[in-house]
Amino acid sequence: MNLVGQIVLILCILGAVLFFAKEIRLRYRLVKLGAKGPQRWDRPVERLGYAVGRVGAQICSIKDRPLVGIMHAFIFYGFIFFAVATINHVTRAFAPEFSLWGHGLFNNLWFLGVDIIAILTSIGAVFLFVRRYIFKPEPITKPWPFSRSPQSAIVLGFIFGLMVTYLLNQGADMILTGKSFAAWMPFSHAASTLLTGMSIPSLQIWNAVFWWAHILMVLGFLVLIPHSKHLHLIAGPINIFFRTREPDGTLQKIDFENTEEFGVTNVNQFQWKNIMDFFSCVDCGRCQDVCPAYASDKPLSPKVVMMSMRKHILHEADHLISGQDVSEPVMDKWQTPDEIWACTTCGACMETCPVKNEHIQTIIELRRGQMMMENKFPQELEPAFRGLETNSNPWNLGMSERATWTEGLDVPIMTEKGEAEYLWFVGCSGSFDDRGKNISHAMAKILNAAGVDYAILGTEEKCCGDPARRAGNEYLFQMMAEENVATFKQHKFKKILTSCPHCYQVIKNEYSQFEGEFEVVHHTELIAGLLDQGKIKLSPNGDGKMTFHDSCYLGRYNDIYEAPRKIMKAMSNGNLAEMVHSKNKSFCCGGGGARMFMEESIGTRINHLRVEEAEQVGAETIGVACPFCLTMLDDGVKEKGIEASLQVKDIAQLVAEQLV
Amino acid sequence: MKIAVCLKQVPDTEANIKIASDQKSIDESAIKFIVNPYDEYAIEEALKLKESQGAESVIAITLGPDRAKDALRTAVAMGVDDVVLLKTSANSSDALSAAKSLAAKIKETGAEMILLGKEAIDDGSMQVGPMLSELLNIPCITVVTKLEVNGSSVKAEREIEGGVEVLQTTMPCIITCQKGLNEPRFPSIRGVMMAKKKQISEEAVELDDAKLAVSSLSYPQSRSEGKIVGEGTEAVPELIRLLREEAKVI
Repeated sequence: MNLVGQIVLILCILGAVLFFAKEIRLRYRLVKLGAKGPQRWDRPVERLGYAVGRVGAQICSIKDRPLVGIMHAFIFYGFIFFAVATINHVTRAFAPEFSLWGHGLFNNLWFLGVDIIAILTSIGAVFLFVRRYIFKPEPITKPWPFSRSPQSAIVLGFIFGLMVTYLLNQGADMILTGKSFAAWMPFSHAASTLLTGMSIPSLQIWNAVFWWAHILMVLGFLVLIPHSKHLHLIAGPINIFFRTREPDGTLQKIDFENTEEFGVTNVNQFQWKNIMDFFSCVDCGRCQDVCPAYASDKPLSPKVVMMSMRKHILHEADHLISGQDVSEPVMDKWQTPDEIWACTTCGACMETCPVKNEHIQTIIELRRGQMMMENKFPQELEPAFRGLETNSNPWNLGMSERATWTEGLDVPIMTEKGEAEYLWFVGCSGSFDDRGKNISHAMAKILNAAGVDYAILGTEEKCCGDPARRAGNEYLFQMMAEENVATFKQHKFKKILTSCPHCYQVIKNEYSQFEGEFEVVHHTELIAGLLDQGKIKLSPNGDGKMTFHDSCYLGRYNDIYEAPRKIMKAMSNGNLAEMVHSKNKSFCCGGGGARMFMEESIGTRINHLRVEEAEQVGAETIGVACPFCLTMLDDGVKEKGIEASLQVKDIAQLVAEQLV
Repeated sequence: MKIAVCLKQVPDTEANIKIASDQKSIDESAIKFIVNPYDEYAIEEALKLKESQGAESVIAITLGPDRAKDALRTAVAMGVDDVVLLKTSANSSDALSAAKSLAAKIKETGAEMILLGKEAIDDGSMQVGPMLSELLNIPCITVVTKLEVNGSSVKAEREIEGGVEVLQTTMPCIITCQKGLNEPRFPSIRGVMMAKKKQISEEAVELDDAKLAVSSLSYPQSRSEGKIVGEGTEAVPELIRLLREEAKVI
């Protein structure tokens, strides 16, 4: 290449790299400016291994969308190869004979690899283009206007163009240099056949055009990356490295003593990791695909939360970098109350997210800001908050009545018994709600039949605080948590038994934030154990088909999938069906995230959708393992008027009925 | 303008009330206390008046034992500026002596608008408002469901049997508040945290001129359990028979 060309090339590269660096630095500074949070440098080797494995093997992309994931993997490996190939490409402008790998066998193998990858990447790009712009699948094209940008068309065009220009450039080179590399570069060779018959001078011109087009597209791509969702190339793997190592959905504690701002009302109050999440979002819509709120026509889509916050923070970038106040709060322009309060915290979004975003923490931070700083929240929550404050239960029923469900039953109280292996934390539903009390009655029967050494707290028990925490009332939650931890510490027991997965999650994974480390067992785990040990025996009655509905807080949050299934199998004579959404892909009942205490007035009802899934598999019984699920699904069945053919019961109830 | 709110701390509506061994008072050991719900309407109305009329301040006054400070903290959390506890050493059911202590304090504050609930849900005597009126020699409108203040003129609607009565007066005056007057606000968390740190001033009062005393408390007669006579139309004759012969209502 002549000197002018070389100078133009260097200027282009410098310009693109500087622009890229400037834009990346801005985003890096925005992340660094985020509020402090856990630094997440613990176990760096394990984190690195996980991130490399996840990204390197493309599990992130393939696991929930195999075909799309494989196409994505082609492009991913294309990037890896072409990142190196581009060095060769550029150096040829200065030293035409130079090759990174010399000129031996390895070099030949390398070029063979690049040739194959170029074709696979082209296939991937065409596939994804056709999928996005012809088949228009909902998760990547809705809701408008977030997911209709032409960026993807440009990027996919670039990727395809990069491959084509590479092959044509190599093909032209083969003809011009007379070196046939057909064996090692079959596809470049095929490209060269397209150019045969061309005169040498025009071939030389075309060769230069291909070469320049290739490098300019590489540089154009570099310029585009920071501005688009394709930033995930950089942010995604880093975000996976910094993923939370706690169970998904475990919320962070607010230190009320040392902060004046609780939650997020302005975008600058987000923690650095939240901001990393915003920049990592790929707009792939996997989260939207599995979101129960979105499926039931609520205005919430987890990816939109991420993308909207990204847009917002970039909009405020000048203010933030120069240390000024933000120009506007997050609500109601960048997020609306209907969006943030629609979340059931079911965690399906986090489970599927290929870049390990933590949507729930972001949504709860916004709820916290609304609830604690602005005193704005759905009105229906007010009685629940008052109830928790005054009577330590969300229904505001008299706290002295907490143990009246035990009347006529032989249920020991901790203060009277003194010591027990299991402290049974009955929970508010189990103590006050009629359907919940049925679970408690069944559980007491099972525990007594199996001779389990247990006791309850009686009127000493207070709500675990889950509804308050998920509704953004962290202050109230901390009051309940501290009081319960103090009560637990006054008693002698080995493990805490809970019937409610929400109590389970909070006591097991969140009370540790209040110096309360306890071994917690859910009643499905205990019952499965009792069956194994032969301490209880069942006589399956009837042969109606059963199905099991995974509670989000038991399954996705705490990975308890097998214990309840083991019991269900034992009870159903093997006539157990799995619904279309089950285990880690289970579909929420609609009651999590304090939604249990709010009206569901927008769109369709989540519990109806779930009940329909049970109908589809012909189930006559839905087994549940959570009092909220019991209420929501039982309501769903009754609202649909199908209670004659479909019953909803907690596993404990079903076991108690079959006890011999 | 200064606004005073008199409030009382009462047992929670859901509390399981047990009579103490002296048969004259209730066992407070397992009881959660709250702000008398009717007084919450008074607090809310005071805060709304402050916002709309630009009142100088709202002071909440309560008379009761040390635990009544919690009720004052709730008032602070809702937005009341100042609070004072008139601390008593013993429980009293003598409304007049309580009203005298409150009246003295109200006079000291110089409040021109005095708001309180129409009654306290614990003893339900409905006396303190009218008594304050007499003691302070200012008008009192009771059981108010709508209040309009314009300068010093006051217009209030009150529920009467089968209708609404509209009354007019000028400040200073006393208003006792009825459900429907407003929707009491939920204390903000920041308010709650501020209230926690608030120093609550207290003044000891003696109610030694009380001329009323409780002689005894007893439980209401327990109601007999409900009965399910059957289902559908077949049950109707039996239901009618029971209503006629046992309940004697038809």
